[in-house]
Amino acid sequence: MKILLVEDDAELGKTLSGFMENVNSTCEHVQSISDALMKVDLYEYDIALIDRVLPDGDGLEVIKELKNKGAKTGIIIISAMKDTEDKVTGLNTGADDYLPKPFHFSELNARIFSLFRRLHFDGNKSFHFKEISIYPEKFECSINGRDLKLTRKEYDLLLFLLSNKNRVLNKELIATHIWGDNYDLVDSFDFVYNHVKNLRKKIKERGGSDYIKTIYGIGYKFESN
Amino acid sequence: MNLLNRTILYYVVFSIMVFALGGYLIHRLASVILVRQMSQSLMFEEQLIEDKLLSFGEIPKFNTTPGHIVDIQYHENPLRQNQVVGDTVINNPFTQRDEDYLYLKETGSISDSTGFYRGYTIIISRSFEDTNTFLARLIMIIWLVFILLIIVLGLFNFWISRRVWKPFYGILESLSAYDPGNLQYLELPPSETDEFNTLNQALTAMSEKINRNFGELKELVEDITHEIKAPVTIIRSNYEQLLQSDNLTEPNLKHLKSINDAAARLSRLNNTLNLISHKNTRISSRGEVDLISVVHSFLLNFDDVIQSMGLRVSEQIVEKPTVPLTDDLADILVSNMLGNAIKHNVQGGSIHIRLTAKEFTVVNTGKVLDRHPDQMFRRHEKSETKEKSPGLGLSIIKKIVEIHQMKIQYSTDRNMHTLTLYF
Repeated sequence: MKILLVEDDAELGKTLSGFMENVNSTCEHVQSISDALMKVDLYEYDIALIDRVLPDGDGLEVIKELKNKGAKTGIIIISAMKDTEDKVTGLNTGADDYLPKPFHFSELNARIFSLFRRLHFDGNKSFHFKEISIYPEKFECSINGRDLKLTRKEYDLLLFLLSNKNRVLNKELIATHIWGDNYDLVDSFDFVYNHVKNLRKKIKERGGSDYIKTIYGIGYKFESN
Repeated sequence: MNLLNRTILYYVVFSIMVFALGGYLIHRLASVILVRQMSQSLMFEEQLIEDKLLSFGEIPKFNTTPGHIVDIQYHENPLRQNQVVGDTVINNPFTQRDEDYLYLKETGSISDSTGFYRGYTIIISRSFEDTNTFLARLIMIIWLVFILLIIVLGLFNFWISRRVWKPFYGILESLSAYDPGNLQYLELPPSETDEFNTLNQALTAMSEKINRNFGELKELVEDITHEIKAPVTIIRSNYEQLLQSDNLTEPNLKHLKSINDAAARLSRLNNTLNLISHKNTRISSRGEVDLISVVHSFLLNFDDVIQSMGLRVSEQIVEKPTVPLTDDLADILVSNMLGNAIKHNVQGGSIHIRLTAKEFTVVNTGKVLDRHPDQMFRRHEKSETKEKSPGLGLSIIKKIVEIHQMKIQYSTDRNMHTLTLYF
């Protein structure tokens, strides 16, 4: 899954994004509201972790922008502001969760997964679609109960496609979602094609059907019917 | 050469010229005066001898010494009264050297007791040797005084110039630190000199005007980027909606794709503009970044594209560089530099990265450049073939480089492109 981290403390930001990338996520770290707004405008994120006290204003602005845009991003506020009033303001603006600093990484991680489950899998720990099952916390998936061995990128790709069922995803969106925002620097997205091809092959080998439809010139769509 | 050194140089050259001319004139004048004095003393001496001669008739020969020779000759016939003064060369019997002499030759006639007139010649020669020695010493003393004067006056001049021009250097310093991008005001030190105060006033007024214009322009850019955002978002969300509808034909999809590409380009352009206008005001805080790890994480992250384009990446780390940048700026710099090297590369091409303590160089294969390399860093300069690039990447790099007083250089040789960052 792809995470946007808005945190002005460079050291904490670095540690957090390193931690997140280790647990199978793409994490984009920015240190100011202006950079966060730019990111939100250009890219999509599964989860946004937002600090409130930032050098150029209140992190709530980023939440407002996400809500204005109608983004499906899950929002967790991470802040040293512990007053009930602050929490209520944050949640009322549109945040899904509030985690006061200091916190344990494991707690943050649990909340991220919990929010992700709620947003995409109705809160279930595992997600099943016909013969395909995904266990996000374990980074595992299976077809007809048989273990499906995927590379990290293939797994991310399948999770992204599945959590956006019946939605056409263009190649650029897929690339920036799975490989990181920097990927809009490149012009050729042939590598996306290679990964989709490999994923299809592996699903097929395990006896699954091909639900990934190629949309000419645009990208891919995971079709549920 | 700076102002003070130039002033001192002119002063020294001019003084040497004036003093050389002065020295020559003093030498000439002194010689003329000395020769005149010598001839006067010769005449006086001759007068004494002549008086004696006229009173006593014949007088005995003088003892002559080298340097002062008196010779009296008598002739059978009377001679006409005549006096000649001139130069001559006489061999010194002691040193065996020819020496310059001034001589006075007087001819005349005396009558003896019988009333017979006969002629005489008195020649008094005096050596220039003493005079010359005196002159040489005089010149030496004059030169010593001159050199002392040049040094003392030079130092004095330097001190005065430095004092007088001090406010000017203060103004220069303030001017070079002045950056309207940081919305600072120009602070100029007050001066006791009227002209500098006038200059201060003019510069302050100018900087206020620049700041005002810059602020207005920045506001305008921010307003524009903000205003453009809404329509772009509308286009993109409508595209997204349309994309989800069934039964889209291939031409429909092509149109949709081109709409999205254009909107994405506009959006990126808008954000880049925003970034540039913000980077101007951002405090240029200096950190220290490990460039090697930034480069490595970029390469790791882009491994899939590098693989799919079949690019050969080689790197040469001569020395570990420490770059005075913050993490996010280093990230923007590296991703733009390496991103360009990937984006403008060709299938099966290569990228070579070289890192030294003072340089970061990226050499990559690519298409032959269709314009002059100097135009590379101008905003909105972009290659015809790559529709997507907003042409602002390199100008962002340039902006960051400028703010942090580093240098960037681009050169190309047919299909090889080299971008070097000096820090």
